[in-house]
Amino acid sequence: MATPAVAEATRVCYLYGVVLADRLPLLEGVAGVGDAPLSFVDADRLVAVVADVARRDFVPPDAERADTAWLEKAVRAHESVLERCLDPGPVLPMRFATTVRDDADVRALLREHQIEFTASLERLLGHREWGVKALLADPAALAQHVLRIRDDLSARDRELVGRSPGTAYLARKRLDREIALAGDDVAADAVVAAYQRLAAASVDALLLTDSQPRAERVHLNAAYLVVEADEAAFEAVVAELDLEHAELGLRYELTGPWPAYNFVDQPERP
Amino acid sequence: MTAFAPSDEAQARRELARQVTLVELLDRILDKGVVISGEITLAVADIDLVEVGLRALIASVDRLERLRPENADV
Amino acid sequence: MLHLYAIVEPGTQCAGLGPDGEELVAIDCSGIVAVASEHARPLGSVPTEEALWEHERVLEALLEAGPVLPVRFGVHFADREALRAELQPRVPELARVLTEVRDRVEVSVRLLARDDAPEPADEVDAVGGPGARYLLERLGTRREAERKLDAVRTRLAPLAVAERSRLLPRPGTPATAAFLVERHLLDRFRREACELERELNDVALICTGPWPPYNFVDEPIGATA
Repeated sequence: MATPAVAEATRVCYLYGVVLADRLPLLEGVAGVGDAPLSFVDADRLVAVVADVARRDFVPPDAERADTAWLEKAVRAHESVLERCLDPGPVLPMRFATTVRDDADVRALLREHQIEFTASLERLLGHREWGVKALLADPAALAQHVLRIRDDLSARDRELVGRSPGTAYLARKRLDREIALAGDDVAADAVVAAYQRLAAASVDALLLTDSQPRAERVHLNAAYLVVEADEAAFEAVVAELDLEHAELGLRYELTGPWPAYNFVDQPERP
Repeated sequence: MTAFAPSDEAQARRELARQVTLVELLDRILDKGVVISGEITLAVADIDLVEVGLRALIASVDRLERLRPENADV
Repeated sequence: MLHLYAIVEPGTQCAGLGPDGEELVAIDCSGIVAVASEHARPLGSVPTEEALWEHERVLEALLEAGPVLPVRFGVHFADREALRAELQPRVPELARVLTEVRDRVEVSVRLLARDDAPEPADEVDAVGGPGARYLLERLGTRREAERKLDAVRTRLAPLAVAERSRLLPRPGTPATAAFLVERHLLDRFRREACELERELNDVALICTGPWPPYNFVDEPIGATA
């Protein structure tokens, strides 16, 4: 909420995230947004990671002046600060480009949300978020698998050999469409099973709906909250799935650890 | 050791045949048949189609070669 | 505007064969029939793969019903008068070719080989320099291709009524051959080609077809390539 004072100020306070006082990150060597130096603002058990930035050096991007180069660099800087915060313990990530007037404002913010921030961070202690995607790396392999399990489709595939080229072309297109649909079903079943196996190895799980466009088709995009001590076991499940589903043309991608973007408000499963 | 099932080679062969078929089509439909002098309004793009077809073809031959049992990695 | 597909014999069934179920028109030209579709304006000048396959599909459907002289894609006439004017003088020739291709189909045999680089010439052979070496290599490649093509023709021509083949300039596809084959010998022909490939061992023979006789309607069948 921008007050007239913010609009006139020459310096503002950029907010990265909130951590617990006994889990302070080491911030040496991390470049923040616009290379502004990082510091802490504390209020009781909570500590906010902030940077004092000159307003003219940092202007939150708006839709009209989309400077993508600046944006990319800034988002990466924001992420790398949060990654560093994640080393010693959980961090509540602030939305990119959150700014307030000054340290006093930061403290007020921390006090206002003290109970919920503290509860969230304590819940997240000893846990980290990981992302798992299943991608269709080899559509031909999936098609071949479909032909192996569907006698009707493979019979039609073989029949095409003897047909004259023009009629074969049309029949081929129809067959390819059906094979693709059957392939979708096979992949969907596989990733549902995968989702559940991964959920069993974690404390919480979530299907993510939006994701960046990829060259390979995304069949699964999920986030998991994993106990740190169980991370090796979780990773092993991902590796198993990658191996088992390779014949379906699927590959699994594990990313993380992430600040718990997706699990900040989630209560733990009983 | 990678074992190639007979179906892999048959599959690759069918795929190769599909690509050859396109090249053969282009070879015929743009260029052969009875010569009837009506109006023909084909752009030079038809030559490009053949080029593209042939390039795809050469890549497929390599793949087929690799799938032959005698060429399989042991 | 009439787009031409093929020349067929009178009485050939053309109903409902057009793209998207459109009607084709059978235009009688005193002894032969021109199969066409009617359009308000010419087709676009850049054919899509879809459009080419549609044209081919129509030809193949006609081929089921009787002999077909395929016309290349894109030939059109303003009206029936213009079409008849073009075809009338050629009726005897076209009628003859129709009988020559009755019950016969075209099979294509394309030779595919790995693009192995030829042995580099010895230093001693560098008389004439790199240009000469390049030409010698090309000649070597060409001779290889000729040898393979000869093997194919020798083995398969006896099963065909006629044959047209040519060497190709590209590595990977040294040659291609088109054979006019009696329909009832089609399976036998394919089997023979498979066996030949096994024997040759260093080249792939990809048979495609049956095609309408594109390569055999320009000259009398008896002429050799």
